[in-house]
Amino acid sequence: MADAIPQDITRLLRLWNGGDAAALEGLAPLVYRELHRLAVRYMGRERPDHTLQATGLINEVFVRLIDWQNVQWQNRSHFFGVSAQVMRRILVDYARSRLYSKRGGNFRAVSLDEVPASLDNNLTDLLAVDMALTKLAALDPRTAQVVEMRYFGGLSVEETAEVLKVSPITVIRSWNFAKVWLLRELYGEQEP
Amino acid sequence: MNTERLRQVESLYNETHTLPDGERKAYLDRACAGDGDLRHEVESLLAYENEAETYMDRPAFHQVAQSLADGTGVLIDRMLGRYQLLSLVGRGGSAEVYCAVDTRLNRLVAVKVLPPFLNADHERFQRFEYEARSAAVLNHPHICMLHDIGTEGETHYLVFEYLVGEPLSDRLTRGPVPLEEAVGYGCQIAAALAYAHDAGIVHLDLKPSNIMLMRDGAKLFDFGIAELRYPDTPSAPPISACGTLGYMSPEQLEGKETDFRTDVFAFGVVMYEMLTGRFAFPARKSVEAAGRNLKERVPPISELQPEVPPALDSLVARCLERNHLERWQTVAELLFHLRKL
Repeated sequence: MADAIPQDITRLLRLWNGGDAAALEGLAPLVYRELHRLAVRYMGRERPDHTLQATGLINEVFVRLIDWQNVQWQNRSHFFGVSAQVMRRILVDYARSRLYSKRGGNFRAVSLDEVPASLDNNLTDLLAVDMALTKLAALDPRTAQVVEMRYFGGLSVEETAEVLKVSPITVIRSWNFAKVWLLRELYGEQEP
Repeated sequence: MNTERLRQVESLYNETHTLPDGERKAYLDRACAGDGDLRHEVESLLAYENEAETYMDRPAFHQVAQSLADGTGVLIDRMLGRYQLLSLVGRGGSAEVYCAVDTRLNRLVAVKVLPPFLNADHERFQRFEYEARSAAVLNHPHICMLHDIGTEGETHYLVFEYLVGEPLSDRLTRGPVPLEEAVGYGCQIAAALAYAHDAGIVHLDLKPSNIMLMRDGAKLFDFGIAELRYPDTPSAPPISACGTLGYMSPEQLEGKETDFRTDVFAFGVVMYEMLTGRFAFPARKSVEAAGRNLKERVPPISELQPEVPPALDSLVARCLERNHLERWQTVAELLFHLRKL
């Protein structure tokens, strides 16, 4: 994808947003390339867990490749919203394929307790969040969207607020609540 | 639970969350007013408020990249070519080593799976492959044999002879190696290096974790794959800064040209550590620290271990000379003197 043309990315994101699931296949390699690039940065550090700039992820991956001249996005925030969803799908597929490729190639739907916890915490965490988030979305779509934007899309509080057309305070409150809700969902109620 | 109820829980959670601990109980008493279920919901969420502080503080994208960088044994059970990976036995730098079965010859092998950054750079991979092919000619009782090199999908791997033993790095955690034993291992390591140098191959990453101690002596591994130590961004410091920096020669640290004498230096550091149980260059946490470190005096071995003969002390000291021209000029020469001890 080194020669990815901005028009292509724009077209693929729009196709996907329009319901064309196959468009993801064109976008995934782009995300993978950026993943590898970031992985290399992590490997090059003495302390790989040091905090890299968390915001601007969509910027890193999609924005610079978007053909803004011919954009037919409703607006910038519409684009951010779509990108976060795309990112979620690609990352979840990727995590599944990494974790389950050893079981015969094609990944399949998994339930929480099937996730082999010892294998790779980063990837199993991600899958667990994805599943719990789907549950949260059924109860409260907006709070779930905040998590999708922040966690899967890497958007800042301000960007998320812009996409969802709410105030930053509302985003912060939803985000704080969603985190405890997800933690309780994943780890159960604690003994008092 | 419906949306309306969840919203109620959410707003009560947010209100209580901002209150100091002492005021929470009274507040909940009032707000819940006998709705025990609501209260239970909010309290069970508050139980996670501390953990939530740092939870998901990195986006998923970074988590996945981190796991790519870590690569933690996700290949167990998989076939790479004709090799079935059984278990993860170690991680060297950014590569993973698995114990595997060669299904054609039905024997155990060690499969080293290369880090993904090699995929991204074709030229680099070719350079690496060339080095690995050269190292494959090495056939010596104290060098771990490279059997095969292969690619499965996007995964590149190397197949080595499977060694049963203890890495010198593990052994050293229990203190120094007794004099006679240390000299014995030293002779074997030097013999292996002299043989490889004669074949035109330098190691450039000699360190205790690359030396396996087995019943019949020491074996060196990871010849010719020094390429793996660096990420593909020229400005980044070496990956394995944690382990390797301490064994790097001044010319490596300064990014100058390396040669056989680079291995002589690392050999000296390893000998020093075996004899004293101490790092010749401690506190090398960064390239800068290592640079400063090199200017400092290394305490003579005999200061720490009086029973070490002066001849051995000066033999090792000569390996550790900062200027490569003042070191032993060949390992063969060094070995000659080491054997006479």
